[in-house]
Amino acid sequence: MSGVLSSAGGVDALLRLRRVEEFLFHEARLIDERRFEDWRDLYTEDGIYWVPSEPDQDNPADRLSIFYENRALMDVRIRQLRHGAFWAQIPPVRTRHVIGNVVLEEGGGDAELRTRSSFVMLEHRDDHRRVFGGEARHRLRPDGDGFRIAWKRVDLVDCEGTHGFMSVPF
Amino acid sequence: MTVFDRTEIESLVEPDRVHRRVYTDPEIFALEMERIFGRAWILVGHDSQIPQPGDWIRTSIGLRDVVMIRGADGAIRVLHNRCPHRGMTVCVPRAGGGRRLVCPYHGWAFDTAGKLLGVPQPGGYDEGFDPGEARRSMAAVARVESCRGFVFASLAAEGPTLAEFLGEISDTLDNFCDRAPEGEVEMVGAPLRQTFEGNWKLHMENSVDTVHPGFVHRSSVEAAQGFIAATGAAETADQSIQMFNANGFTLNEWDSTAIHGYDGGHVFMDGFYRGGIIDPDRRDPVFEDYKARMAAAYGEERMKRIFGRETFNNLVYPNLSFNTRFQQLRVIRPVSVDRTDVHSYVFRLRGAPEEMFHTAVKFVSTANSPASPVLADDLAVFEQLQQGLNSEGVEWIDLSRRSGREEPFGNRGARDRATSELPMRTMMGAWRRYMAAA
Ligand code: FES
Ligand SMILES: [Fe+2]
Repeated sequence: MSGVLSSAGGVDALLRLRRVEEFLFHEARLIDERRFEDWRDLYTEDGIYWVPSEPDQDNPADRLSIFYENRALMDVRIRQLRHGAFWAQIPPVRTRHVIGNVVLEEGGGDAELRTRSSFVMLEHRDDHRRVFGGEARHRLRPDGDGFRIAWKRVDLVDCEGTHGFMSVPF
Repeated sequence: MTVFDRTEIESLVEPDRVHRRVYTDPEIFALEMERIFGRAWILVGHDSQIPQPGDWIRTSIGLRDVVMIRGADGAIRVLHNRCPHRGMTVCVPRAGGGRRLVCPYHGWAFDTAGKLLGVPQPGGYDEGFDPGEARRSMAAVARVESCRGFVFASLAAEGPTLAEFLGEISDTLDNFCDRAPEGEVEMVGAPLRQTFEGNWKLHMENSVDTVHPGFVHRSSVEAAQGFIAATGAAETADQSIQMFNANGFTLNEWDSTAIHGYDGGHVFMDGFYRGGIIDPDRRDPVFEDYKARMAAAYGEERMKRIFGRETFNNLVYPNLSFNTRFQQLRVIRPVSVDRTDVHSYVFRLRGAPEEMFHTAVKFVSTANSPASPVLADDLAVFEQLQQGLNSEGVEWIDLSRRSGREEPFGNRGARDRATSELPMRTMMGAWRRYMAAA
């Protein structure tokens, strides 16, 4: 079995993994607490948030996506989430993420950390309960003490399934 | 199942109003599956989904699970996805291919036309067992016809041909394909699949309801406007943001476009998008390249006529909606009286620059993703609409807006300003005719 404890970096690698985990927990908490503007500001200026509609989708330009948003589209979505007449959010959803199985991947060099993690997101709205889950991949750029998200891809386990309307990011 | 008499059905639809049971009564829904979805021509797919002999996809006609398959002879057939032995679903994945279909339950094998090739251990049957007998084959759907690669099927052995059924709305299906320099479109990838807790007709009516965007889509319109005001991005705004913004038409602006209905229940509305990448007359290198290829393929005159046929949503009754400008097609799939799935597809214009396809992908994702800022509001409204209709407190739905003000259009159609409820009256007129025919 391989992992941080068996890797050459030892304690340093463990600390780095822990910093990444804390960042991912923080990101999820911002969504759950509906601090959407703060969530958006975790992204780099050219950051991308992507939720494909097919499991092995490799190009957002030639396949349909559930979300494919740059900062501009995130901004419009957040303005809508703050709007008083957003019917899909009356009443608003309440969500809670659980994040786990965080691993750092090879590649990306020092400029970019690549991570994979699993998540479950519980959602409640107007007597409807849903569970979303899947794998998230992040490309993180070190920024001061923390990171910024250059790219995030969320592969829902049921990405090609049939979905009711949704409006907050995973 | 309740036997409805003709007068009872007819009494549910008056010229300007409809009884709420049409949207809420499970027995009416069952009758719709028999009399509308069991008789009309229903889109089952596109021939580009099954390019090779033996390729098949699972699809549906109303609640019937069917398989669209390309035979070894190249012909497209539609088979009931039901084994003639003991009823098993023969094709289980969403798509597949090969020389034979083998039933997972006891291994009966069929050729690509559905004919039984053989059964395991045939000695178990008497000598009279004839695999060639029709009742041993997978049953074929009564009629299959296609129009420009769009494959339609009808469960009814008799009735109008596809061309008669489509009537003049086939112009817009032609226009969908004529916009490709090679005259053909290709369905690409899997559809987006949405679902809502509401009747299927709500979605059809809403896609040609021009009064709702100013109310239902106010949040996405104002979010887009807020973004544009804050960043000064109007000209360069993202294609999706331009689309959100375009829903901000005033009712007077909507009324400068027209809406059309045909006797068969089919409806189309004129195009209305202006500005930026969604402008039909835009000037950018990709669009110039596309126009050059179109002119080469068709000549200037014909190209002008093709682009001049500018429509937005086009509805083929009962459950098909497509957009010729952005290669979008939606199939509205009734599940139960208060549950509907919608599958949204995108197409590539064969022979056009690939960037045209990317624009279409973006359009279809923006307008059809379950996470779309536009669609989420529509779906949320459909669910509350269905709740409202469940109330016995008021029995009738009013469809009288601009009633009687339409003018004749084409051979068997009418047209009016886009804010008219003409489309809803047109579709309910067709509903009444299908449902009252024993
Ligand atoms: S049900 Fe298909 S082989 Fe028996
Ligand atoms: Fe809408």
